[in-house]
Amino acid sequence: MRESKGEDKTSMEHIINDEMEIVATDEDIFYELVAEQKRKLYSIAYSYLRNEADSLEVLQEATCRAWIKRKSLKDSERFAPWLTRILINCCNDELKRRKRNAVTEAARSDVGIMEMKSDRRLDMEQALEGVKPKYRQVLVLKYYKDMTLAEIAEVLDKPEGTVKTWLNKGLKQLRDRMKRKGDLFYG
Amino acid sequence: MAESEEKLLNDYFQRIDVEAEEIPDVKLDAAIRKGMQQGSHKRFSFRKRYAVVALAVLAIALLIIVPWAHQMANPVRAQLPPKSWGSLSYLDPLFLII
Repeated sequence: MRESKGEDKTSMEHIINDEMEIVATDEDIFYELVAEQKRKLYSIAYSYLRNEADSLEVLQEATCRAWIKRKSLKDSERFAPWLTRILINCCNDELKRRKRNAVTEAARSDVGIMEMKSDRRLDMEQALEGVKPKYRQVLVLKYYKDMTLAEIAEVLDKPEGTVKTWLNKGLKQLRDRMKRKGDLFYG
Repeated sequence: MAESEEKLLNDYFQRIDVEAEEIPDVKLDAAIRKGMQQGSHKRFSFRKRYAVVALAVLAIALLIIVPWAHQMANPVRAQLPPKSWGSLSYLDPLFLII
């Protein structure tokens, strides 16, 4: 008797869950999935752009692209790496746009922000800016998000060996740039 | 040597992380919502554009097909001058041959 009551309860739960799934629209599910990643996505964008407004804009753009292309994602379990890849692409696009408008951006960054940052931080920022985007994304995911090479490979949709090569090349480029800066300032 | 770069990167990203953590959830949620709205709008306008192009192509195709089909159904007979058989009569030998 008690068993049948338990079975009834579980079947009711199933029915309720099914109904809730029907009620939850595509939009709600998508929103929940993105919201779970929002801080991670924003922080990645911020590490690229170092500006709240631009980072929010890139998050918005990434959500927009993901929403449009959501049906192209076959495996829903790969949503997080897929979304991260879209965001990194958006960041790279934004950096390209900034490069095109380099003069205006340089003028803007000169105002007010420079004096608030330490020399060391500025050196690192400038060195990172000089690193190729494909190497830089590996550096960000490895040293900022503490991702393993396998996780980075999944995000970037590249073989692990390639990611390892990019990491080493990225570190080398960074080292060269920092060294050049050191030579320039301290002989 | 690589260790020092790694340490510098870790330090740098730690500071970045502190700054990034300052953002309130409300702003992040708003950005996500706006992104979805923008996506729906873009998708809709793409569909609208697609529909307009499809309709234009269909209209042009109809303009070509309808007159052609009409022509096929009612072929214009060659406007040949009426043949004169002259004074051919039942009794003429030529008529009998035909």
